[in-house]
Amino acid sequence: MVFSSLTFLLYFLPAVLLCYFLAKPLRLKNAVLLVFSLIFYAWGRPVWLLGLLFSTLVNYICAIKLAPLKGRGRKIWLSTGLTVSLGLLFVFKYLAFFANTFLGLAGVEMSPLELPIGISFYTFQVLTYTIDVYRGRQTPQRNFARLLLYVSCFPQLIAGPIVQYSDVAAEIDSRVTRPRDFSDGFIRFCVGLGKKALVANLCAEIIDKLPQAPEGALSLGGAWYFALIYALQIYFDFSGYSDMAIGMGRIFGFHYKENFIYPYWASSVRDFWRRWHISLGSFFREYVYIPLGGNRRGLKRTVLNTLIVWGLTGMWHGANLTFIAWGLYYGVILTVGLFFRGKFRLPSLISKPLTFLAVLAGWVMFYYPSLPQAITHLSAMLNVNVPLIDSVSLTVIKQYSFLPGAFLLMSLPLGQLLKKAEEKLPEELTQPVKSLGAAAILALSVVFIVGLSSNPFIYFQF
Amino acid sequence: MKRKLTFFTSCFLALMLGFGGLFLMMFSPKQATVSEKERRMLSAFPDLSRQTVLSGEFQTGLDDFLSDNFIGRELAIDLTDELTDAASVLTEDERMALETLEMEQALEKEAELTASGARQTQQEQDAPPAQPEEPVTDEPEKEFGSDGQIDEVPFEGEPAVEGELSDDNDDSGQEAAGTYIKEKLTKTNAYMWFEDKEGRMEVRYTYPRDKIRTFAGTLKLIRKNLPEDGTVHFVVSPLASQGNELRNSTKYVGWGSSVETALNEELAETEGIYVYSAWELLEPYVKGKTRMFYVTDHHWTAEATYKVTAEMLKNQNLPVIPYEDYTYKAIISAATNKKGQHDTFNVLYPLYPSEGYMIGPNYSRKIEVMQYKNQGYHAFSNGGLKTWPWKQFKTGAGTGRNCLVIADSFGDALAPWLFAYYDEVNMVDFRGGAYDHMAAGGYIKDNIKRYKISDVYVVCSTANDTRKNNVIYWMRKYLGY
Repeated sequence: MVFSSLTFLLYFLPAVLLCYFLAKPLRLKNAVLLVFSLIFYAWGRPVWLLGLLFSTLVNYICAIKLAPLKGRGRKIWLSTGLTVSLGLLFVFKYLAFFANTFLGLAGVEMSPLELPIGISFYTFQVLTYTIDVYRGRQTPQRNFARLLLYVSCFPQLIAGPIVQYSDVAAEIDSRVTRPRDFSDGFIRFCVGLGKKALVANLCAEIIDKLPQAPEGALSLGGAWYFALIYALQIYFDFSGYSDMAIGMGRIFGFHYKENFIYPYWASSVRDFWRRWHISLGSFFREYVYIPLGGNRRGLKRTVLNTLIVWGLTGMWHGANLTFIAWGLYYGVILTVGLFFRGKFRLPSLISKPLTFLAVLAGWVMFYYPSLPQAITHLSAMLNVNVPLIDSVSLTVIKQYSFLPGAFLLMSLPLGQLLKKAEEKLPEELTQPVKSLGAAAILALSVVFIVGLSSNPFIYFQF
Repeated sequence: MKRKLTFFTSCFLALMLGFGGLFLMMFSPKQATVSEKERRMLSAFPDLSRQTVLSGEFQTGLDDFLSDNFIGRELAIDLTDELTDAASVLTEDERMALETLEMEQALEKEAELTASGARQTQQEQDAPPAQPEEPVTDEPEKEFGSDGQIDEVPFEGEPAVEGELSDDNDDSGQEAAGTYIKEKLTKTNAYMWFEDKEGRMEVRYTYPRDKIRTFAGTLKLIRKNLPEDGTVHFVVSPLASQGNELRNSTKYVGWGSSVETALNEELAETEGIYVYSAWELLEPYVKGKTRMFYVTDHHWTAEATYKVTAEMLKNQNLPVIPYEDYTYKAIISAATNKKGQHDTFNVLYPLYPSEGYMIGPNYSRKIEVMQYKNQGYHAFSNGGLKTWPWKQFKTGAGTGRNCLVIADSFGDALAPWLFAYYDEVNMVDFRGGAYDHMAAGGYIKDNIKRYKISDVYVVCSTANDTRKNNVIYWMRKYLGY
C-alpha cells in the first residue's frame, strides 16, 4: 500500500486514526499501531511479512543475548544479527545480480527474486538497533512487540526515512499527541501528498512523453529538459513521501528527523548529500564510514572509505550497474573535493548552479536501466552529434510551459521566506489558513490521483 | 489549546467523513461497468478468496476498483486535464502533433503488453505439459494472396513477431521527404508527392509496398466477412495542412499518390473492393472557392467528403443526390484561430429522423447525431464524444441495408452522406486504444454479422495511412484476426 493510493487515503488512514485516538492507554495505542502497521505491510503480499518478522525476531534475540556479554561472545551475537538481516537482503536483492555477473560466463542464469517491499529500509532500521545495543548506546528492548512496532511502524516502513532506534526508543515507551502535533502533522501530510500527487505525478507524465535513449531522437535541449524533469520528479516524489511519513509520525506522537532540506539549493555535492535522503547518509556515515576509520587514517584510507561508502550507497538503491556507477560518481566527486577542500571557495552564484548540473547528470545515470543508455543520454547533454532541440521535446516544453520552472522554484527554500512572514502574523490567523490550505491540497490531490493515470512511486522499488 | 484541538480535529474529521460518504456512494448500484470517456471496461470488485489475498491480487484489484469507481471520476479526469492544459502554449498544429505522439506512445505501450503476452503464450505453448487452449490472436497472420487464397504470409508490422512497433518510415532504399522522384511507383515503394511548376515530383511520403500488401490483405479480410453483394470502399484523405499548402502555394501546382494504384494492383483479382484517390478527386477543387479543408482544424470539410462519397455511391450504381438538393443548411459552429483565420462548420446533410446510439451487447445510450454546440469539426457524427467503441445511427431511410464506417476522425464528416442509403450507419475508430472488443460485444468481424452489415467504408487521413501501425496493425487486430 502506498500513501497516495485511495485505499490508504479513504479507508486505512481514517480507520487507523479512529482506532488510535479511541484507544486510551499507550499500550493499547501501540497495539493499534502495530496491528495496522502489519496489515499495511502485508497488503502487498502477506507472505513478505514473514521476512520482516524473522529479521526482527533474530535481532531481538541477538540484542538481548549480546547486551550482558563482553568480548567475543558479544561480537558473535552481533554478527549473527547482521548476517541474518543482511543475508535476507542479499538473497532477495543481490543474489541474482551477482550470480549473473560473476557466474554468467559459466552458464549460470538466475531470474531476480521478487523483492519484498521496503526490505532495504527495515533491514537498515533493525540493524541500527542491534548495533546501538552492541555499542552500549541503547539498552535492549525486552518487549518484542515494541521492537516490532519500531521496525514496522507504517509511516516509515516501506520508504523511510530510515529511523534510527535511538531516535524513537523513548517515544515508543512514552509519548503524547499534542494538538499542535496533530495539526502540524496533518498539514505536513497534506503538503507531502500534494508534492506527490500534484507535482511528481505530473512530472512522471511529462517524462513519459519525452524521447529517451536509445530509441528516442535525443537533442541537446530535450536531454537537459528530461534530466530537469526527472530531477523534479524524484525530489517531489521522495520528499513528498518523507513529508507524509513525518507528518503521520507527528500525528501519532513520533518526531522523525528531516529527510530533505532543499537539496537543489546545495552549494556543493557534499552539501547536497547533507540535504538529500539525510537518513540514508546518516546511516552510512555512522554505521559504515566511521567504523571503517572515516577520515582519521590518512588520505589514502579516507579515499578508499569514501569510495566504499558511495559504492554501497549506489548498491543500496538496487542491484544494477547504473546504481553502482551513480554511487561511485558521487564517490569520485567527493574524493576529488577532498583535495580542494578549504583551498578555495566558489561564490554561491556559481557553486549552486554547478552543483545542480552535477546532480542532474547523476539522475540520468540513476534513471536508465543500462549504462550504454545513460551514456547516450549524457552524450546528448554534452551535444555530441545531436540537434539543438527535437520537435517532440519542443512540443512537450510548450505544453507544460511554465510548470517545470514553477516546480523548480518550489524545490528551493522559498518556504523559509513564507515561514518568516508567517512568524510575524498571529497564530490564530495562520493556523486556520494553513489547515484550510492543507485540506484544499488534500482534496485536489485526491482529484489528481483519480484523474491522472500515472501514480508511480520511485522509491517504492528500493 | 483545547479549542484548537477541537477546530483541527473537526476539520480533519469533516474531511474524512466526506471521503466516507464518497466511499458509501461507490457501492451504490451502477448500470454500466464502463468508462465511456476512456472507452474501456472499469475494474470490477475483485474476487475475494484465500488465494487472491495471499497473492496480492485482491489488494491490487481493490486499489483499481476504488480508483475506477470513484464517484465523480470523469469529472476528476476533466478537471485534471483542464488544469494541466491551462499551462499549454501549444498552437493548434502542435497540439495535433502531440495527440499523434500520445497515440503512438499508447500504441507502443499496448504493443509491449501484447508482445509480452504473446511471448508468454508462446512459452506456454512450447511447454510440454501445456493443455490445449484457445489459440491466441497475436500469432503470425494468415493472409490472402493475390489469387484470393489464404497464404501463410507473416503479418507485417506485427509487434509480437517483430518485437518492435514503429511508425518510422525509414526503410532502406526509400527516398527521403523533400527529394524528387522520377517514377510514381516502383517495385518496392509507392509515393505521395507534390508537383511543382517544372513538373517535378517532390516526395512527401514513401510507402513500402509490403505494407500496402499487408493492408490489401486486411481489406480482403473485411470483404470476406460481408455478404456476396457486399462492398468495401477505401480512401485516404490529405491533411488540412497539405490541402492548404497546395491552395496557398505559388511553387506547387498539384499533388498525387500512387498508393491507390499499388493497392489496386494487389486487389486486382478481388471483387467488391474499391479504392479511391482523394488526391485526384479533390485536386481540381482545392484552389477553388469552396474550401475542401479547414484552416482552423486539420480535417477535410463536409463539401470535400461529399465529393468523395459521391464517387463511392456511383461505384455501387446508387443515385447520387445532387449537392444543390441538400436543403438543410445550418452553421453549426465556427472557429477562429490565433492567426485570425476563420472556419464555419456547415451541416449540409439531409437529416432524416435519424437517431444516434452508443451500443454494446447489453448497452445502449442515445447520443446526438450532430452536436449543435460549438464543437468545431467534432460536431459531425458526434465525433467529439470519445466515449464508446461502437456508434450506430438509425437513419430511417428504409433501404434494407446497413453499412459500417471504419475510420479515424476523417470519417465523421463523411458518414452522414451515407444516411440516405442505409438503415443503419455504424461507426468504429480503428486507431490504437480506440476499440474495446469487450465493450463492443465482439471484434469488428463478429459485429459485421451481428448488425447485418453489407458495405464497409474505410476512411483515414495521411496521419494514419498505410505507413502507420494504426492501419497496418490495429485495424486488423480490432477486426478480430
